[in-house]
Amino acid sequence: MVWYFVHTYEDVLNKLIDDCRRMMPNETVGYLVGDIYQWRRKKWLEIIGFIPAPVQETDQYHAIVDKSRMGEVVKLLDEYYPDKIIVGWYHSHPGHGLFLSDLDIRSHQAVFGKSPHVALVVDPTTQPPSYAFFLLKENGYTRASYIVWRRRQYE
Amino acid sequence: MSERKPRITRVRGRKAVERPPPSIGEYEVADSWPPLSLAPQAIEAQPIHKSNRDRSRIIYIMITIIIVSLIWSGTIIAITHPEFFKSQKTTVTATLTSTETSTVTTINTKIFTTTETKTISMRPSTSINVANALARLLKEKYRSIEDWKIDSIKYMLSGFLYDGELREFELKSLNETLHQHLNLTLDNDLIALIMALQSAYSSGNLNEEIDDICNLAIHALDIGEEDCKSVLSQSGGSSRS
Repeated sequence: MVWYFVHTYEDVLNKLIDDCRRMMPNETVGYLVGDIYQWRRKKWLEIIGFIPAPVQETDQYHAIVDKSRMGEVVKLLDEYYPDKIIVGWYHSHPGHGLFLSDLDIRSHQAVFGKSPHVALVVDPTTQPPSYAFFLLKENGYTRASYIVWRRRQYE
Repeated sequence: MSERKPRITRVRGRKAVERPPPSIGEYEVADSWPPLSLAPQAIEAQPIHKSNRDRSRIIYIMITIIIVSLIWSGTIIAITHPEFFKSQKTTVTATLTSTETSTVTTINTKIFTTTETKTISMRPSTSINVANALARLLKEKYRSIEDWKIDSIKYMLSGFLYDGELREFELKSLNETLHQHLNLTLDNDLIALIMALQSAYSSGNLNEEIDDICNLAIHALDIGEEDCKSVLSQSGGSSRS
């Protein structure tokens, strides 16, 4: 039986993809907000929002986070998502496909270590936009199962 | 600045809250991977019925009792009737399994149907060397191509090969990018070239294998043998350019 690890919502994902589109042709990067839950001894992760990261430098292949402004991210987290945590990060690969580069893996390891945080990669150039969630494993990464829910009140 | 410890660091070691995931009763499914049709049962967060829980517990207890009884019976027989065991000869078959550090899965990309698994020993830096070497070979073939297109393929390949595996979706992505930027198809010749580069960089035998690799490069990329050797002799470093 497949257990969907990542659960998120269509409106959240659409806004995030719009943000990636706005930054084209450059890459964009940010944090995924939500929480990690457990059900029947299995963990699952819910993404309810995102916070674009303050970027120091960006081009088609890189987006360097300005670490000196991380306080702003924490402040936004406290203000808009008071009981939530950062559950991962996202970045765009405009026209490069869905994968984690060597640098992406090292960045993920440096920030999140071995915790169950996910990395979302979005390619906003495709039609429709393509995206994939990834989890780090022992010697690399693996694709994480996900499900995107459509809220009934948004119909 | 807030004096509180950032929440980012608080998540480690934090106990996850018990909560069922959203279900179809509450929401509609907009997208999923794997596709929902392959795993319809996964998304239904049904409540645990007490009767089911009790039944599971009874079965668990019964199995435990049977296993413990069998162990005790065996022990008692072994003590009281040791002759049962003396006459028996035991043959032990040891299976030696060669351990490889990683696996490379190649797909017949022309039709994307047959799957063949090959095992190649990999070190993390190998992926960067392979990507660099292939990028230089591609640059040799497409001399007027913009650097960013070659770089895009290089970064993609080094990411894909990081764990020594080329999965189906990675091959498809690589094929699409090669096609988009270079109008090149990721066929079996090109996959064979990538694998040969991996093998050579993993074992550190690039010089010994350079003839074979260049033979593959001639078929895959239609470049000259001398050009190939010249390119590969410059691709020994592990730093990303």
